[in-house]
Amino acid sequence: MKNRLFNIWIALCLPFLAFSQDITPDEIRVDYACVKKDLATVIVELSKTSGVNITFNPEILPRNKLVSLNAKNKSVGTILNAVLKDTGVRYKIVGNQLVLVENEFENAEEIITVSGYVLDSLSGEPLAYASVYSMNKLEGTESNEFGFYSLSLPKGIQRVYYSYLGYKKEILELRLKKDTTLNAELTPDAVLNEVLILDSKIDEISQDLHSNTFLPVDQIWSITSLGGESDIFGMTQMLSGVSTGADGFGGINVRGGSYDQNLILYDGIPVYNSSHALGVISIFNPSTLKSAQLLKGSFPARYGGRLSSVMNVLTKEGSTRKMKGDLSIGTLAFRTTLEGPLGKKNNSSFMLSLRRTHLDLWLLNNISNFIYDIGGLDGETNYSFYDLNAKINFKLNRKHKLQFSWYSGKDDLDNDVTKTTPLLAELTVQRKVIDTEWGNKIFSAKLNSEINQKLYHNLTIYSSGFDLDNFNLTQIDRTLMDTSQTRSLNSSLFRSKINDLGVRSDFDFVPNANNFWRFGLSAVRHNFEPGLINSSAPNADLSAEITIDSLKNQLVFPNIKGTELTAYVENEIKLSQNLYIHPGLRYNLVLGDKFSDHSLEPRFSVFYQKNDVYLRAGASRMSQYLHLLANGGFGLPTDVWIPSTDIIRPEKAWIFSAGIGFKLSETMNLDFEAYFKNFDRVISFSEGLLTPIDEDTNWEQDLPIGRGKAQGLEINLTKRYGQSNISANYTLSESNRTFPSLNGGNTFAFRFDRTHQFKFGFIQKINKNAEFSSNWQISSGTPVSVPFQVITTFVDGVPVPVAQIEGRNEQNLPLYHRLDLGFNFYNTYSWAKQKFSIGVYNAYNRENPFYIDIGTDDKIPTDFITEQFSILPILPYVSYSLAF
Amino acid sequence: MRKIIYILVCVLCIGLQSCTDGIDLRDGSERSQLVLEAFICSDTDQSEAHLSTSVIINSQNQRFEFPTDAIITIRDLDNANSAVYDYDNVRKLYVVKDFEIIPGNTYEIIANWPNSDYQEIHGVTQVPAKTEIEEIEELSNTTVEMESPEVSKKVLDYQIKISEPLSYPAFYRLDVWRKDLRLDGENQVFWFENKLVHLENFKILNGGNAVHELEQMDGILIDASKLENNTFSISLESDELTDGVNVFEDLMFGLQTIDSEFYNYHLTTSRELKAAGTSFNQPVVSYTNIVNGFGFFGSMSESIDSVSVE
Repeated sequence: MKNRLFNIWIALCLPFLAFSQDITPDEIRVDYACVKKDLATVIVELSKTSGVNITFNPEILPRNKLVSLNAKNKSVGTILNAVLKDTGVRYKIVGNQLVLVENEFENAEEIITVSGYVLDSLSGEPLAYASVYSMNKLEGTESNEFGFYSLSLPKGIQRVYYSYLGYKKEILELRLKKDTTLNAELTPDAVLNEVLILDSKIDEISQDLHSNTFLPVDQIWSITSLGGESDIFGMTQMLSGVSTGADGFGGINVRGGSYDQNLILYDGIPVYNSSHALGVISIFNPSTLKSAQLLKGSFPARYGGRLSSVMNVLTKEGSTRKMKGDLSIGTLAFRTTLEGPLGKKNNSSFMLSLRRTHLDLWLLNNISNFIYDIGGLDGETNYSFYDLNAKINFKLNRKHKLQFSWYSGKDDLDNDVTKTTPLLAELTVQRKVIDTEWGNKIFSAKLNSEINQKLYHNLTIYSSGFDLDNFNLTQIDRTLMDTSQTRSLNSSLFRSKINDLGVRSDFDFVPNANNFWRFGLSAVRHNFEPGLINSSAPNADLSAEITIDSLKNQLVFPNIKGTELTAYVENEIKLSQNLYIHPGLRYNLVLGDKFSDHSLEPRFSVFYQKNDVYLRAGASRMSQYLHLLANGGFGLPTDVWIPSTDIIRPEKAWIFSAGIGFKLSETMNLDFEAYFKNFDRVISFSEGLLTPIDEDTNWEQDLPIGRGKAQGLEINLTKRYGQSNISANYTLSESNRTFPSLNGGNTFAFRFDRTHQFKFGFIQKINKNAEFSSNWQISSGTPVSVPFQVITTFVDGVPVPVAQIEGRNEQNLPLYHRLDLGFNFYNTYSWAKQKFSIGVYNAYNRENPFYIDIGTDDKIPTDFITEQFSILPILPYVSYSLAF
Repeated sequence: MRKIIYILVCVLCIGLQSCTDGIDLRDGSERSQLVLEAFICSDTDQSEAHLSTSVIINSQNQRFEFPTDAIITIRDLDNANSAVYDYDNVRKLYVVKDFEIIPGNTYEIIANWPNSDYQEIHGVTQVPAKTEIEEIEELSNTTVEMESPEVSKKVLDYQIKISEPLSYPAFYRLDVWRKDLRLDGENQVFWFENKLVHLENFKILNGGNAVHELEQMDGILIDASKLENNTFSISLESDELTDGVNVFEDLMFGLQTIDSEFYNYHLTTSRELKAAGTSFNQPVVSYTNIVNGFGFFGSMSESIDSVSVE
C-alpha cells in the first residue's frame, strides 16, 4: 500500500516536469558490467556504482529477466533505458534521484509532434538555432532563425532538452498524447557570462556538419576590443582560417578567399560593405546582436551568391516583456539602445539603437592638427561613423508575425595635409586630399507563418543599398630658383553605387525526426552604378584645380541592371544515431542587360560521430554574380562593386573540406580540418593605373580574368577549466591567383595569403564581478610587391627613374603579431547592471606594417628607400556601459 | 580633471599618430646591374642603344651611372655579321652604323663595361616582317578657333585598318607626325619632316584593350590579337597654328611592326610611369629580356603612309 501510494504520488505530481540544471542524475556517466544478473540486482548495483539514488518497487519489475551488459562511460539513463526496454517500466527524475514507474506508453508507435518557439525567459526574444533533442538524442533538431522548432517524438513520456549557448539548459518532461504546441523559455546565465567558447562544441551536431562556428555573441562583452568597441569581426578574426590585413584592415578573408567572397547577411539580407574604419570594426552594433555564425567549410543550399564563406548575423527583435536599454561610451564611440513591448498585450515589440563616434565632435580635429604640427605638416583629419537600427515586430495572431526592420550606416573620412619641402634649387609644396563617404541602407519587411506544426514559412521583401564616393588628390607646387612655378595634379574618383530590390520565400519542413527540409525561391533586381576616373595635369597653372565635382562632371556612370533568380532545396537527414548527411541543390539564373548565365550548384556534407570522435566532410559548388575590384585589397573605400556582364562572367568555385575531431575530455576538444578551393573567373584591376570605369570606356575588356586556388589545414584546441577558458588554433595555408595578363602569366600569392597563423585566446573569471581577457596572435606577413632596384628610362632624352618589380607578391611583410589585454568590472543593482572596461590594444606596441611604399631619403633626397607604414600602435581604451 | 584630460589627449595622440619607418626586405643578394635599352630597325642602317646602371633601393649614396666606355656588340646569329657600337658624345648614347638589319633574322646584343664590377649582359631579338597599313580613313576634320585672332587648332579623327599579320602574336607601334610648311618673309617654302609630335591629346577612340598610349614616348602600342577586324581609331589634336606662319598639309603615319620584347618592355614601363605619383595603383611587374641585367633589346620593321589634311 505504501509503495502504491508512493508511486501514485509520484505519478500525480510529475506529469510535466521542468528542470533547469546543467546535469541531471541520469546524465552521470559510469562504467558498469554484468553477466546474467537479475534486473533488480542490476539496478541496485548501478545505483551504488554511479552514486545516483534509484528508487523502485521490485514488484513492477519483470521477474526472471536476466541482464548481461558491458557499458563503458555511458550515462545512467542510457543504461537504464537499455535494461528496462520491453519491461513496461521507465524511470523519471525526482530531484536528485531516479524513480522507476510503470510505463503506460510502452511500445506506443504513434509519432507526436512538439513545436513552438524557444524564447529568452526575460525578454521573450526568440532564440535562433537552439538545440532541441530527446534525452538519448535519438531525436533532435534546432530552432530556425526565427526561434521556431518542430520535433517528432514517439507517443509517451518524453524528456526534451533545450539548450542554447549562454543560457541554462532547460529540460521538460512531457506526457505526449497528441501534437503539442509548446514554447520553451530559457534563462540567461545569471552570474557572469559563461566562459567563452571560441569554437564549436562537440555536442552540437548540426553545426558541425558545415564547419559552422557559432560566435557566442553574449560573450562579446568579455573580449578585448579596439577603442573599447566590442565587435563581432574582432571575434571572427580570432578563428582559424580567417585572415585579415594588418590590424583587421581589409575586412575578413576566409580560407584563401577574398573579402568580396563572403556572404555577409544582416537578418538574412546581403550587405555589401560590412565594416567601418576600413575593415577594423563591423557595422553590427553589438547591443543589437542576437546570434552570429560563420560557415566556411561546406554550405547548405539556402546560401549562395558568394564563393568563400557565409556570415549570418541576426539582430534582436526587441523585448516583449519589459522596457530595457543600455547606454555605453568608449574611447571610440558611444552607443544607446532602447527596446520594449508595444501595446499592452505584449505581442509586439520594438528596438531602436544608435552608435556613433564621438571623437570627431570634440577632439579629433585638434589632435590631428597637433600631430601634423609636430611632424612639420599643415593639415587636419576627421573621421566619423554611425549606425542606426530600428525594428518593429507585430504578432498578428498565434500563427503569424510581421516584422519591419531598417538599418542606416555611414562613414565619413576627410583628410587634407600639406607638406612644404625647401630644397636647394626649389621649394616644393605637396598637398594630399582624401574626401570619402560610404554607407549602407537596408530595409526589410518579413511575414512569418506557422502553416502547421511541421511547416514554417517566411516571406521577405527587402532593399539593400550601398553608396561610396572616394576622392583623392595629390597636388605638387614647385617654385624654382628662377621663380618659375609649376603645379602638377593627380586625382582619382571612385564611385560604387548599388541598389538591390529583392523578395524571398523560404520554407522549413520537418516531417519527422530524421529529416529537416528547407526549400525556397528568391528574386533580386540589382542596379549598379560603378565609376572610376583618373585625372592628371602634370604642368598646370598655379590656379588650376581638380575637385570632386569636376571629376563627377567628367564621369558618365555606367548604369548596369541585372536580375538574379534562385531556387533551392536541401534536407538534413539523420541516417542513424551517428550518421548525418545534408544534400542540397541550388539553381541560379542571372539575367543581365546583354547576357544570361545559369548554374546548378550541388551541395553535400556528411557527419559521423562515434563516442568521442567525429568525422566531417563536405563539397559545394558556388557561384558569384557580383565582383569587387579591390585596389591592393586594403579594404579601403576604393574598392568598386561591379556586376557580371557579357564579358565579365560570374565567378565559380568548388570547395571541399574534411575534418576529424576529438573530445579529449569533458573540458577539452581538438579538431583538424583540411580544405581545398578552386576559383574560376576571378577578376582584378590591370597593372598600373586603375582602369577607369566610365560609360564611355571599354573598361570591361581591360579587367584581367583569371583563376585561383586555396588549400590549408586548421587545428583547433579549446579547453575549459573551472573559471578559465582557453582557445588556440593554428592554420597552415596557401592561396594563389593566376591571370594571363598579370605577372607575366605566372601564378602569384594572393594578397592576404598568410602561410602560418597562430591565435590564442584566454578568459579568466577573477571573481564574481571581474574578469580578465587576452588575445595574442602571430602570423606570416602578407605578400607584397616590392621593388629592390630602380633603373632609368629615357623620356625625350632625359633619364627618368623606374622602379623594377621582378614578380608580383614575391616578398612578405614582416611577421604580424599583437597582444591585447583587458579587464571588465561589473556591478549589479536592482534596477541596472553596469560594466567598466579598461584595456590595451597592441599591448607591446608592435609596429605591424600596413603597407610599404618607395620614397626618397629626407636627408639624402637622391637615395631611394622603402618605407613601412604602420597604422595602430599601442592603444589603451576605457569604456563604461549601463544596462537597465 | 585637467590632468585627466591631458592624459587622455596624450593617449589619443599616440593612438592617432601613424608610423612610418624605413624597412628593408632584401636578403642581401642584390647587385647593381647594367641597364640596356636598345632596338634595331630593318628600315634604317643606324641602331642606337642607351646604357646605364641600376640603383639598389635602401643602399646609400648609390647613383645612376651612364658608362661612356662600355663595349656593346651586335651580332647577326643567322650569318657571321657583327659590329661594335660607338659612343656619341653629343647625343649621349651608343650608335652603330652601316649594320644591315634583315627581317626574319635573329640578332644578339652583348654589353660589358670593362674595369667595372658589372656582369656582362646580353639579349636576343628576332626582327619581324613589316605589316602595311591598308587604309586610313578620315572620320572628322575640325578647326577649333582659339582666343587669339588668326590662331586655331586642328582636331582630326582617323580610322586605321592594318593588314592581317603573317602570324600571331603580332604587335605594333603607331607614330604620327606632320610635315610642316613654313613660309618666311620672302615666300620661300621649307618642308620639315618633324618627328616630334606636335599633336596633343592623342586619344584612342576605339580599339578596346588592344591599344595603349605610351607615357615615355610618342605613339601608341597595339596588340593585333585583340583588334577587331584589324581596325582601330584615334583622334589627334594639333598645337596652335598661326595663319600664314605654320600650317600642315600632310600627316605621316608610321606603323612599326615590333617584336614582343619591344612591346612588353614599353607597355610595362609606360604603366609604371603613368601610375607613379598616384595614390592608388596596382603593382607593375617589370619586363626584361636582358640576361644579368635590366632593360630590353627589341626590333622592328616600319612602313609609312601619309594622308593629306585639308
